[in-house]
Amino acid sequence: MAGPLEQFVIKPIVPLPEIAGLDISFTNSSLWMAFAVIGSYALVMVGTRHAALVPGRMQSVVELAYEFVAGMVRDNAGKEGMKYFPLIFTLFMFVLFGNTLGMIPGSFTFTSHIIVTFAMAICVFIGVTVIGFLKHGVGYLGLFAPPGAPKAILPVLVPIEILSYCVRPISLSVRLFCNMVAGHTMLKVFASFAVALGVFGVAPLAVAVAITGLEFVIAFLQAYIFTVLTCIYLHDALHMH
Amino acid sequence: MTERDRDPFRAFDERLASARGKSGARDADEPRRPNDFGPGLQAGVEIFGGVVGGLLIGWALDTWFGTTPVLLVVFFLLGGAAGVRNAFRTLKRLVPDEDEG
Repeated sequence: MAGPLEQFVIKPIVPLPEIAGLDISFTNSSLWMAFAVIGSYALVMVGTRHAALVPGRMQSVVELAYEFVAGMVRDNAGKEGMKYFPLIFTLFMFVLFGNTLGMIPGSFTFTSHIIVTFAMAICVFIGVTVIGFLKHGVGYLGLFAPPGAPKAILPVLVPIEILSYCVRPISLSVRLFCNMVAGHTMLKVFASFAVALGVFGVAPLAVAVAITGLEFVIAFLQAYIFTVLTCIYLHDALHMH
Repeated sequence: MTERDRDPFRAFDERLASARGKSGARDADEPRRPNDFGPGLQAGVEIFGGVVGGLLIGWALDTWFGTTPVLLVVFFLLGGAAGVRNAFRTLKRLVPDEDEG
């Protein structure tokens, strides 16, 4: 029987030649990323094709997703943040589809790889920093000196503030990655108990069923948290404090 | 709208309220009791991220300047402090302040 961590192994599907020492093969990870992109694109396209005043089922889903993310951006990043809505909506749909597609038995969860989540987090980090400097110029550095702090503790405070800003992509990516890995490993472990225990496997099977439900909640929740934090970082860049 | 027109709505509201009371369903406006587990977990990740980030930066600077292990130690401590700072920010955002509320 496959071990609980074997589901995270990356397997090349279409081997491609190395470019500058980098393996660019089309892998199962790439395949499910493509599915996530196609899936979210298809959802929005089908949902808005026959736009009606009284929405049908698909249109309702799309409108719900739009309203949800739009509300999130407005609440957390402010009105000015709506300029970046397309990016944030894309990010949310990509992570959400990645997480939920991973719940299909036999599929691959690309958000369970730290490099995938870290790549997204570092893009958000760099983008937000560039926006901050474009908007406030050098004054953006004032973010690292909280107003009202006594001058005497600034030499200690400023390095800590700078570091706490720089480690944001790490906590952002680790959170999503840890939740997906932990959930999927737990599912697999309980499922293998159910097989190994024979008749008594009913107990772990029941737990596995419960965890499956929980995993769907976490799949959505982690997509939500990832996006909300992006909005909050964007808010810091736009309004500083 | 006259008083008579509004009556059916009120009757409906009452029926809805009693049905909700029976099934134990909540009103959407009712404040939900915050779950303390989620914020705790999120704050934990922030501290972890701070320490790991500090260690990575310290280690990188050490190999660059050849000062092993001075900067590793310094950035480990700074990273921990930064992690706590981020965790504090997260908790402030997630857990509503009881003094102000």
